[in-house]
Amino acid sequence: MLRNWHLPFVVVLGFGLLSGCSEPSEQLRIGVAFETLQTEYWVASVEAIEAELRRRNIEMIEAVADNDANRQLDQIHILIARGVDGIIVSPKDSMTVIPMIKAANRANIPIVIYNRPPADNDGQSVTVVADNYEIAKATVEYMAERAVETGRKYKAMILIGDLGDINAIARRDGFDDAIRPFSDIIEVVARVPTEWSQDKALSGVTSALQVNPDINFVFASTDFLFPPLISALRTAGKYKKIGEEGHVLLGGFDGDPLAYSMLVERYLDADGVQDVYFDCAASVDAVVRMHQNQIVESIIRDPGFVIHQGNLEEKAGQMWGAQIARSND
Amino acid sequence: MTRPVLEFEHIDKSFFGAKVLKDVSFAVRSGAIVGLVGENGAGKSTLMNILSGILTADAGWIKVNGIPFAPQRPDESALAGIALVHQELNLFPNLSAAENLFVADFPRQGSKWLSWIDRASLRTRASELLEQVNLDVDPGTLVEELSPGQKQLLEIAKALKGDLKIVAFDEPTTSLTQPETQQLFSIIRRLKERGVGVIYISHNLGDVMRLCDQVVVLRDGEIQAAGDKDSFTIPDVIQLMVGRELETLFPRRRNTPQDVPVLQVRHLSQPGIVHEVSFTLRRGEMLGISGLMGSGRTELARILFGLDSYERGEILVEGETVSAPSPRKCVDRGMAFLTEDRSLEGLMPSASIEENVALVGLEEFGSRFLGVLKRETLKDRVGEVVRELSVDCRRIDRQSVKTLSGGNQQKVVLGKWLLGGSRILLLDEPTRGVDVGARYEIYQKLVELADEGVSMIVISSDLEELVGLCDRILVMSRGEIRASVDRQDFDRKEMLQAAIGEERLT
Amino acid sequence: MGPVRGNIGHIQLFLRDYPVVWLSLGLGLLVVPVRPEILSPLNLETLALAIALLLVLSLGQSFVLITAGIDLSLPAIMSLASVVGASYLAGNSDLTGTPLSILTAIVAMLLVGLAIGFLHGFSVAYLRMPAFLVTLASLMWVGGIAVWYTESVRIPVPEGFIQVWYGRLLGIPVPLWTVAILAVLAHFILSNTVMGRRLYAVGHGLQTALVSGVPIGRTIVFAYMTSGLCASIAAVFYTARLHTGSPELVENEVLLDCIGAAVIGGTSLFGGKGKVIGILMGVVFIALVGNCLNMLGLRYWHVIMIKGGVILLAAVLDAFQRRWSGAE
Repeated sequence: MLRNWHLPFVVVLGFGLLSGCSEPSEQLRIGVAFETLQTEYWVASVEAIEAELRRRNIEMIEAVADNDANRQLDQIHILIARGVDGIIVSPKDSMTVIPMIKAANRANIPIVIYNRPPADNDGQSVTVVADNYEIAKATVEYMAERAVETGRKYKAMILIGDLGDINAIARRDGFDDAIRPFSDIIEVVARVPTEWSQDKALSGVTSALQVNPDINFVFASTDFLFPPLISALRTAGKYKKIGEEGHVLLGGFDGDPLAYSMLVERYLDADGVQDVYFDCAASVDAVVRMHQNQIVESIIRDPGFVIHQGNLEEKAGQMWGAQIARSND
Repeated sequence: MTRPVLEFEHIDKSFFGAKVLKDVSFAVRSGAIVGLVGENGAGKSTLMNILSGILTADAGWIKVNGIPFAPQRPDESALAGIALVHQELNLFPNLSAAENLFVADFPRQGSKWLSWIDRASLRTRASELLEQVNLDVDPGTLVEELSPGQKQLLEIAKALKGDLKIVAFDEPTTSLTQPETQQLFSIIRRLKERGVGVIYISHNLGDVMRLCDQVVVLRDGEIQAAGDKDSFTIPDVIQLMVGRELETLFPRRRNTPQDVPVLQVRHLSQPGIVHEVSFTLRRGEMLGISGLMGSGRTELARILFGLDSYERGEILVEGETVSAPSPRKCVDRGMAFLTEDRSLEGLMPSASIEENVALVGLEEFGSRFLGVLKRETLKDRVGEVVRELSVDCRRIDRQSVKTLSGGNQQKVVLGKWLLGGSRILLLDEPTRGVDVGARYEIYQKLVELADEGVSMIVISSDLEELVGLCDRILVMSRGEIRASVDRQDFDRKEMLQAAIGEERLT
Repeated sequence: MGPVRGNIGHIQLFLRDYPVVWLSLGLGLLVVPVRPEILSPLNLETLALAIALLLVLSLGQSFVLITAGIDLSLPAIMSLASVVGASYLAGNSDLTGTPLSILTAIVAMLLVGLAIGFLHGFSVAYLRMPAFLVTLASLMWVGGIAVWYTESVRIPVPEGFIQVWYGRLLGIPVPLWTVAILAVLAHFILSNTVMGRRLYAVGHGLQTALVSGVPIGRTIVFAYMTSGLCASIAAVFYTARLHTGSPELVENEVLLDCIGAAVIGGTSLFGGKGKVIGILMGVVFIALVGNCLNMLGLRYWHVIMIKGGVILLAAVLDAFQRRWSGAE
């Protein structure tokens, strides 16, 4: 029995070494709780927030919930127990964030909601969010104008996100409202629910393309779903560059590095970009100001922009995905 | 006299400070059969494990053909021409008979670098081996489809490969029927003629006396006696083994069966399994069923206990018809089934003795509402049963039954049914893998129960056992009852003939 | 002296049976100096609630594990129960929720788990289907129904329902009371009832249990219904805690947590073994690892690597422990 005593201590020693690096200090400390880090958009966001906090000499405490709302609520409680001075949270959906807001309010700690606005509630919080509806609408309008130019008829498909997420609804509505005036030439034949999952997107798109092989207008509610989309299009022999015969008009949303390279390689027509640098700086600024008891407006909107073949050079500097793609080269 | 092919000299072995072999010395001559007998725990298996290189001796040495030999691994002893036929079967049920025979060294073709199994040669070589043990099956048959007896023969065939010098058989007949046993004996005699030295370990002393040239008796790791078989009688050997005098192996009945039917079977038929079986079991009767493996005796018991279905016929317990029997219904009516496969159907091997013994009678100790157990009462009763059957164990609540010897395991199974209050016992091979001492204790308990009015059906391949215990014996062959013999008319030869199914000699 | 020695003997036996206790103690001892906040009442409550949530699931799971089965459908049962309860409340209640409507919603949620559990038990016991397959299929189709039913939309629940989680009795959160009662009940069923013994018997040897007259069908159905019921209870808690009826209430990873906790706590995947006290120890460990890692504020990558590694290490330690005690 004595022999296996040392094992626990090895484990625990590991913890000690990993934790020994960070000592408590008088700095401001902000907890950053993200629902997921599984796409580049979220990683870029956390890194941008971290950079902004470092610039202001604020310590960041990170917690990632791995898609689990209950775990995220635990993490918020733990951040509160650690006595952070403010919290920036990117929640799983608009409902489950409400108990988090309430917990922060009870502990009198300012809380900023990043990217996903909460549903109606009586708690105190500030939301920083891209204008998903407008950006998506502008993106799809650009695509529709290109469609008009060709003089052909179009069959359209949209990849819809998780409808528990208000942003997914806003992007879908932006798509629908942009298409409506063009209903004489663009007919929406497929709406693929993806719940933000690549697997579900792949199977959904594949079967949609089998039922409607003449789809030639596709909008993805997030760039994160491009890999399965490309793979399904390629299998169907429909992944063509702009100007090539059989090109499918393609639009996305986020502004990630893959979208940037697709724009450069002329596969992608347009992409709605959330201005990550603006959003993150605004979030940090809001949480600091709230900590200083200043009044902050409850919603900070990022107008975002559409990047397309016509303004690629001009706008790439503001596109977060372009920055990452270029730095990787 | 021929020279010794194998010598054990002053072998000592201890486990955790407990000596299990003390100064063991004896020799096996070429072409001789040595019977090694002793109770479970006497050290026989340890000695065999040392011979095969699974264990090493603390002191002493082994000589093969006069040359010291200290195997470190099982394959070394195999190379030296030593083969062991185990009590437990070491076969892969999902492989064919041929594949099992050559699993360690498949005949190959192709180059040294890229080779594959030579199926044709595998088949022919396997057929030769199977023929040597008179096992009449296709070499491609999956082992799981073989009967227990056939598996044992296959295990023996596996040992016969290569240039054999010494073969040790450890309880080879436990799963064999009478004719299969005879077949094994003729194989062993052929080995003897080839000059192979044979060690034969068995609890069946009748077999040992019939087969062997010399007998070595082990008790508590020490040799009690060794010598020519003619210098011993079976009672001598038993006494040497257990270290105390046994009146006889089979205790005497004090009561005779009462003329009250407790189990009546009428015209029971299931195509291909049993045909028109009718008999009546009386209160306090010990009814033996003899027959070869596949004669329908085990199958009959399984049908009676609701484990298998039947097409026609009627089963009455205490005068009441049991419709659509299931094990649960049978248990509720006071029936018990001690199956031949103890570890699969009789025991929960990794559960404690207490959990095992309590299993059948549980409900008796639970409240009517919600079944809350009276744990102390249950534990006390389990303790009583365990003591009553003198199960040799340390702690009934923490020791798992798989750590017990075969005899003690069988006592646990019996105890489970006794605690459950069973009045009709179906006993299929009740003393398989049970050593002599425990066997006697089990017989004594069974006879005591019968005297108290418990009725039982005893199925056994061991005719001696049936003759020694039973009030009446039914002989089955090909699913039918061929003979019903009362105690005063027991005639071994006649029963054997009925079992084999030949026309009765007149 | 006598009784004192007896107690020490019991403690020794306990520590020998559950080496995971050492791991938990060691972990706590090393994290406390670095992060004394871990002992703050606020964090202790967070930890206790995390333990309670996981314990409910582990208890249900262990009933099935004891019979040598497995229930992979828990997350789906939770999601379906959650949306059924929340949508009932949305249709039949005002903003606060009447006690009757809340009670009805909870009963409906529990029935969801019981019904699916019955289906599983029936398939495994009477149709002889492998538990792994049956419950894995349910993970998909039951989860699918929950998504289809709501079209992925989250449903808010009334204030009154939320009290099931946030309410307090004598200053202690209601769920802690509930789970404590459940744990005691589970312990009682497993160790003091006929049904408990039968669960172990079925796990130890199905064939032996059958021959011994154990009603194996009923016993297996009982195990899966218990598991379903516990998943529903967890769903009630999750839904109240998150103020939300959601078809994506919980990630499937919770399966690893609850099976892992049970196994680390001495429940065998091969059936026949498992005690509530051990399961509690396993749950404490898993919850503590999560809490400590978040307390330390490590980067996400480190957290998942360490958590996986620690569970594996605990399992290795457990395997060694078992081998040694088996060799004695």
